[in-house]
Formats: sequence, C-alpha cells, structure tokens
Amino acid sequence: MTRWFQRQMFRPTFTVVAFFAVIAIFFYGSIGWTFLMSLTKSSLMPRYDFVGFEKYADLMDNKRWIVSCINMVVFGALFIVGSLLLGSILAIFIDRGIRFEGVFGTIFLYPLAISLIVTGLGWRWLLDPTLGIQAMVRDMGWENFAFDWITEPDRAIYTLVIASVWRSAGLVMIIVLAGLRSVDGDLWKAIRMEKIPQWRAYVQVIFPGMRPVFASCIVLLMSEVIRGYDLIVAMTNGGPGISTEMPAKFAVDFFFSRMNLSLASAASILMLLLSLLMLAPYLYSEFRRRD
Amino acid sequence: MTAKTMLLSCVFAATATHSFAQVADVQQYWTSASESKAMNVIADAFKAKGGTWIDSPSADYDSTIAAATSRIVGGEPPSAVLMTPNGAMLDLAEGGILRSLNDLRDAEGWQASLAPLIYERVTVDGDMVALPLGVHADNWIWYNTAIFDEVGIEEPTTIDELFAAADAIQGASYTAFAVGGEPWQELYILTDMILSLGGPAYWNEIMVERDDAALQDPLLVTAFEYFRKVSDYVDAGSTGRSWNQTTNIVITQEAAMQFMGDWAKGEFLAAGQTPGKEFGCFLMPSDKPAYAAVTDVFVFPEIDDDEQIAGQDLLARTVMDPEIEVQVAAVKGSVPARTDVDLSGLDICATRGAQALATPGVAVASTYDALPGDLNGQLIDMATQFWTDPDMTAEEGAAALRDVLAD
Repeated sequence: MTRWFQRQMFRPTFTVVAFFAVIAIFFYGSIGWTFLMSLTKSSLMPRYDFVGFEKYADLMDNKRWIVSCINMVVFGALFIVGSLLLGSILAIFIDRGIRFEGVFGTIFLYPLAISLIVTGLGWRWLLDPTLGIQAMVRDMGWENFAFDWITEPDRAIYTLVIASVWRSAGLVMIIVLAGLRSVDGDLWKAIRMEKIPQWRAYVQVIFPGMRPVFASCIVLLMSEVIRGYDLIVAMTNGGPGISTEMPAKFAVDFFFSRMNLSLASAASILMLLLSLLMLAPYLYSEFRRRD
Repeated sequence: MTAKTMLLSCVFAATATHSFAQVADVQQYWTSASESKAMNVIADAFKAKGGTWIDSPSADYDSTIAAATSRIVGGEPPSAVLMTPNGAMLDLAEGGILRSLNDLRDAEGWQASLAPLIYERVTVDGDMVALPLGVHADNWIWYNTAIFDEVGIEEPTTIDELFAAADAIQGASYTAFAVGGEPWQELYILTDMILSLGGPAYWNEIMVERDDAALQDPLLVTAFEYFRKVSDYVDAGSTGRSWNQTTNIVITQEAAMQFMGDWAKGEFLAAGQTPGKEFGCFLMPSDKPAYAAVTDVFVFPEIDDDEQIAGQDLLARTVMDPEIEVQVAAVKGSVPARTDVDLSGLDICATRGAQALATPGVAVASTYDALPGDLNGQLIDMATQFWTDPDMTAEEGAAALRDVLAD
C-alpha cells in the first residue's frame, strides 16, 4: 500500500492534480466564499441569511466607494503613463552608452528595493509643508514658495502618483533596457544610413517593435494599481478626508475595522471583476496571437 | 500504601486540582504605558486570588476583535475579550456567543452599583454580557492654563464664550484649537457641537432612537455651522496629524485647546504635567451638559472548559471589585463604572467626569458605543468629507448626517 502510494507520489498526474486541488480550494474556494458572503447581511461574524445583491446596491450608494474607484482610475492612468515615460527615457539614456552605466542602473532601480511603507513615509515627510520641500525652499529665501499638495483634497492623489512613479520607473527602465539591448544591430545601421533622427527612430521604429515588452510592463504596473494599499496607508491614510481612498483600502477597512464583512466582500468581488476588465484587452491580444 | 491506592490518590489529586484551577486567557489591546499598567492591576489582583493569567495581547482594537472572532469561529475562544459595548458586541451577543453573567450579577448586586447608562450598555435582551472596566468620555476640551492666564480668560460655560475665548487666543497669536487630521477626531468636534446645542435628550433621539423628526431639526444645521467655524482657528500642520501629536502642541504651548476624549490626559501626565496646574479640562460647555461615555468592557465568550469557566467567574469578580475599579481608573485616566466607590483618590478631571456620570440624565452613549453596525464609521466618513470640503454647506452637511442615521 505504502509503496503503491509512493509510486503514485512521483507520477506527474498526481502532482498536477494535487497542485490544482490546492489552487481550487484556496484560491477559487476563497473567491467563492467571498462571493457567498457578499450576498449575506454578515457584519462581524459570517451569517448565512441571504439578501441577494443588496450589498452591491449599498456599495454603489457609498460615496467613499465611488471616490475610491475614481481615484483608482485617475491614479492608475497617471501612474502607468508616468512610469512608462520616465522608465523609457532612463532606459534610452543608459542605452546610449553613458559612462558608469551600472552605477546609474543601480541608482534608478534602487527605489524598488525599498518597502512601500518606507517609501510612503519618506515622501510624506518630504511633501509635508511644515517639514519637507516647501519648508526647505522657504528657508532658502523664497518665502512665498508653496508645494502643499498633500494637504489639499483635490491634489493629494497626485502626490501618490509622484511617489509611485519614483518607485516603479526603475523597474520599467530595466525591462525596457533589456528590450533595447535585444534590438538587432542591423536595424540601427539601417536607421543611421537613412539619417532618421534619434527620437523618431525610438518612437516610430524601435518602440513599436517592442510591444510585448511594454505589455508586460503595463500588466506589472496595473497589478500595483489594483493592489495599491501600503503606500496610501503610509502616505496619506486615505486623507485629507476621503480624497485618496482606494478600493483595496476600502475592502481592508471594512473587513477589519468597520466589521462589515458583507460590504467588504462585495467590494472585493467588484475589485476582482474590475481587474479582469482592465486585463481583458491584454489577455485578448495574447490569446488571439496564439491562435 | 499499595501501588493501586497510590495511583488512585494521584488520580484523585489530579482531578482535585483540576476542578480548582482558574484559568483566564485574556485577549486584549491595552499595550501603551498607562494602559498596560491598568491591565496589570487587574492581572495582579487576579493572580493574587489564585488565578492563572494567560495574556493574549494584540496591537490594537481591530486586531483584537479579528483575533478573538477567529478563535471563537475556530472553537478555541479566549476566556475574556477586551472591547467596547458597540455594534460588534451586539453582533457577538446576538450570535449567542457571549456568556450571560446574570447569575453573578444577581449574586453580587452589580445592577444597583453601576451607573444606569453603563448597565444599559452592557445588557443585551435582559442578559448582562459584559463587565465595565472603566468609562471614558469623548466630549472633553483640554487646555493650556498658561495661555488662558496670559490671555486672561476663564473656562467658557457656553458655546459663544468658547468661540469668544478662541478669538481672544488667536488675537494673542496662539493657535486656538489644536485639531488633528484623523477623520474620527473631526467627528468628535461635530458631535461636541450637537451635544452642546441639543443636550442629552436630543442626543438620544437622534443617536439611539434615530428619530426622523428629530433629525429634521434645524439645530443640526447650526451644529454644522459651528463645526465649520472651528476650522478658522486651526493651524497649518493639522492635516494627517495624529491625536497625540496634536495634544503635544497644547502641552508645548503652541495651541490653547483640544477637543479630545480623556485618554488625552495620559499624554499630559506623561509630559510631567498636573491636571489643574499646567493643563485643565472641561466638558464641552452647554446649558444642557452631557457626558458622552465610551466604555471599556470585558466580554466572556461561551466556553466548555471547566477551568476557564472558573477563571471567568474569578476574573468577573476581580474586575468588579470596587478597589480594583478605582485603581484601574487612577492609572488609565478613566472613571470607575461603579458609582458606589471612593473617589477621593482621583484627580480633578476624573472627579469631574465621575460626578457627571453619576448625575442622572447627563451621561449618554458616544456615537462609538451607541450606533449599531458600521454607522459610526459612516458618520466618520461623512464628518471628514464635510471638514475637508469647504464648498459643502451646513445644510448639505445636516442632510448627509440624516442620510446616514435615518433607516
């Protein structure tokens, strides 16, 4: 019996089945349970009195949820575009064969190694009008200098963009640089012979050929957007007011401090749908190409 | 003695000690300096009476509740959980998870010795499900006496005097009101205004009964106007500032007053100041004074284990011991929940609080304790939206409040 079992253990089918069973239970099982909870009235403890999609309707009435979703779109768009732009520019500079390439590469990539909490706290201090950049510039003599975005409900969301672009641009740079290095040398020769300006060569020839590279960057960055939690907690904690709330923070807050299990579950399910929706174009193009 | 009798006596001895062991596994979050001192008062007294104390601390209230509910669902409940008598407690009680303490209550006569409001808070459907460790109130104002002396003002007794004092303080180039940037702090300012204008009876109408007619009262619009007015007296560093950093600018004489619960007293004491000397306290001024109580309680989950049931009994008696109540209050800065205890050991602020709590019709439950489910959270969201959006009018604020509270 045991020998039979041992033999089974090393069969690929068994391993694969075990693997899928684990995924089915812990991943899809959890999603299923969360969905089930979102249909109940559970508050602190799970309770199985079903009320249909009432909690989803509550969510749509909840101003904080709406603000969170809008923030995610605004933040996501600016963050992804910003990181791609800055990362690509840095990659181009390094690719032009500057001196001390390794040193600069390390410097730009380094922010990625810093935890989001530390990043958030550091930027919070830098942007605090009474401690950071504003105070420093004023001390140097420009008395009227103002940079207090983090205290303004309309602008605080942009400070989150600044901090996250600072953190993620290095990652984009490394990936794009790897893409640039794999560009065929003959292509560059052709570009030089045709006397095409450098910037046009990048924008119209090189980068369009690197579409898959940018697609991976976008997927990576997008997951950052949807997961966005730690940076917000450390930097603004959703404030001033509710101006920098995000869906992930909404869900965590309602699970663990508002004791509203059902509403938090509904929010989580909507986040899942939202991320599927955002990834749909990418997945579609990927699958279409394989056909 | 034969081997058989030895074995028997061993078994007997084991069962004997077994039935007498009193074990309490306490899930709690009193971890700051003054809080842990207060918890140690209880733990030491419990151990002195022969109990075995198992400490299960968490970092804060949220993680304590999360840990406790996971343990309860997992079938290994703690013997006691520190919490407040809020919506979460109601949830646990309605789920049949909390032990009814009616037998102990009747044996010890606890109903008569507790302040009526507190007794009401810890009783769900006729069952006493929690025991109060102490009472705080969130409608205090803390002030720096040096600034008050310099400007030449007394403790205000009406809301108009409060703003007149604020003008005078601002005239002397101090920050009048120290306000932090955490949303719940902003809600306290709003509820202070509502309490001051409406008094305890009106408060109960809107917060406990959530009566629609009372929620239409124009008084709420006035309260929002005062709430907005406070923002004229706030310093630039307010955004995102924590409550204790905010207390610190009153301690260091940068700002004169802070709206805050009496846990703020711990910060003044930690800075080496004495109540009535370097700093003072008064309840939100009003012609209908109120005391918005936040209560710390132990709840006792239903449990099978005999040792732990015995432990719960012993812990319950320890917590309700009048001497322990006073000692806990003295180190934590709260007020004893029992009204029949000796108050001579308390400082001037705690004495004022205890008097307010004992006066009939003054004590009300704060939003935190009074509101079921996540309504308090919704109020916090609403208050902080109003506070950070200067374009929102007082009428819109009152309407938003009504939306949250009306069913």
